[in-house]
Amino acid sequence: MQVLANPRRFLGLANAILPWVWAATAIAFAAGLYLALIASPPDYQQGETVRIMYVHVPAASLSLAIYVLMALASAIAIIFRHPLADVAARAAAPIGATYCALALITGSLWGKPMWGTWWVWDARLTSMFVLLLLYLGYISVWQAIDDQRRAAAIARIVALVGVINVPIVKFSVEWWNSLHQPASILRAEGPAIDPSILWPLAIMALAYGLLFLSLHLTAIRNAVWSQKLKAEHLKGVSAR
Amino acid sequence: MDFSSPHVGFTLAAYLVSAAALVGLTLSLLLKSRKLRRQIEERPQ
Repeated sequence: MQVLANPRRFLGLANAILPWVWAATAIAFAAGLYLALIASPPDYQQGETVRIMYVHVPAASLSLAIYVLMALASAIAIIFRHPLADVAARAAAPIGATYCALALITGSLWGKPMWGTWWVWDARLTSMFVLLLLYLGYISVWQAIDDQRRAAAIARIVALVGVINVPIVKFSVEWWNSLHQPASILRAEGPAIDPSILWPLAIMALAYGLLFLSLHLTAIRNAVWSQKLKAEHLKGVSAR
Repeated sequence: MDFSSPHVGFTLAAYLVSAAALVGLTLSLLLKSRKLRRQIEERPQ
């Protein structure tokens, strides 16, 4: 990890692997969408609506994982003063917020025909909504505070305090009565889903994960380039 | 996929919203990347 502390070394690595990661993302999406929309059967109860799960579940799972990544990066920034840790956390936030919003919207589009309502204030849905607010709060801190060191200090606290919400989202369906179904993949007894539905779900989850990796590396590279241009501009101004 | 089945509109809407958001996010990052790369390459050495 310390190897990547040098932004120039990070740029070299990112430039080398990004084309391959983008290519893998495109292949995973092509395979995932083929399985999700064409090859997989409709569910015997949900009918064609089950296909919403192939975009809803990966978006929801990744939005939780991305927040954990932001909290880890924030902890690394505090403990090790790693120069790219804050950059990595900040770059992940808009992607995580988009995934979280998509999980809420696609969940709502599934809920209307299946539950008869767009939204209920139950534990799982409410805690996911809180996750979206945490993402927006984290992004707002960076946008609202001009002093980047102060913004980083507050943003780290938002990320670290907010990560408490992640296990609440995960276990909300077990701790409280919820309209949302309990875990059906990560269970001690194994997945409760038929392989004809589990495989498209797994490939789409891989595609969403690879897309995150592609977007995250691109966003970090953009941030490093921006800092470099800003530093050179300031150097030029002070030399005049 | 059976386009005549009930509630298929909800499924299509979920995919369209997801595609719009993810393509939008991807394009915004790639366009920013292209702009920054150009600025890096064109700056005086």
